[in-house]
Amino acid sequence: MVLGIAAVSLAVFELPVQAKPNKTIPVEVIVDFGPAGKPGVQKQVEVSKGSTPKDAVSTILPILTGVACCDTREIISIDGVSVNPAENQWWICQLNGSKKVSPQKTQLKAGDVVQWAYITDVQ
Amino acid sequence: MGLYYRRSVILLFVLVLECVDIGSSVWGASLRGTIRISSPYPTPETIPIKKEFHHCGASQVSQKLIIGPDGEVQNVVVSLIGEFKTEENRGLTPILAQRGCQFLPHVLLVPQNHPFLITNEDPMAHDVRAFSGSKMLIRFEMDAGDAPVEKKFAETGPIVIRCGLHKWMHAFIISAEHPYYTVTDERGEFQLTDLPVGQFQVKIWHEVLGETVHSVTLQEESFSRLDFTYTTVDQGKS
Repeated sequence: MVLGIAAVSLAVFELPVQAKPNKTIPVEVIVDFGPAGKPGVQKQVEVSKGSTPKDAVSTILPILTGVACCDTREIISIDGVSVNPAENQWWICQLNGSKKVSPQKTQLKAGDVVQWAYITDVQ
Repeated sequence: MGLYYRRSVILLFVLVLECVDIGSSVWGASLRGTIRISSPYPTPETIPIKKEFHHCGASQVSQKLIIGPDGEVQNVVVSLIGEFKTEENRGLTPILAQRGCQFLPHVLLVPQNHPFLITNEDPMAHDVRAFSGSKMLIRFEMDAGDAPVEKKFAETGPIVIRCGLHKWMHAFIISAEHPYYTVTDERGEFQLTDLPVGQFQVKIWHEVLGETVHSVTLQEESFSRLDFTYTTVDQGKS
């Protein structure tokens, strides 16, 4: 009887782990440092399902977040290259060549290409 | 008679105090100078305008580096380095205007924690953002005809002001922690008055040309002079 209860408890405890495996998807991440002059990075990485463009770049390079424009979760630095309001230099993100992406919210799909570019914005 | 005598003594005492006070403020140390750049002078940067050019013009000359005919540099910030007693009442409220798709003046001195006004004199909206380093401090939109907005900064140093709608628009507010700051005029000249006496370091800062520090000796009742010529320009900066 005691053995039976123990077995049921163990099964209940283990179930969530079996039901939610840590699935990953392949995406390509490109980082272009532009006027910062550092060599670019292009890597195929595996990210957890539900990851965002911001999550993806953080798997290959250190990032810092803060308020650059509109949101406290924005990237303000990638690999030590920070946004520079005095020089009008910012990090922008494209997903599969489109700027219609929320770096903090858009969930990536397998095969997506995430590009982060450091640009000087004059218009 | 005794009362009259006492009043005379008191009046004399007050006059002596006022003379001392006037003397220390008028005859304090002063510093003058001219900031230049060596030739050949950089060509002014022209920014083509691709939006709202009906009001902003087809192009604008960048305000980042304004050089006079003999190399005089405008908008250079000159300040004493050190901790100084600040005054409570600092007079008028500085104004940063948005006019003709530019922030004017391009460099505005504002005492730390002192209110200043931002106006919009253009017939269009602007999106004002202020940054200290890479950190955004404030952001607000101003429609055409909006009343001036009052702000103040607890931070010190150069604070970048930008318009999020017209990306070429930018200016600097220099949030000054003490009164001994000034900005060069169109002749590259500056003047600081009512300075303390002694040996000091003077910081010269320009947004493109950079920062340099010089030693000066400030003497009572005399003008000291500090002229400086920038010799290089980092053309990589835009």
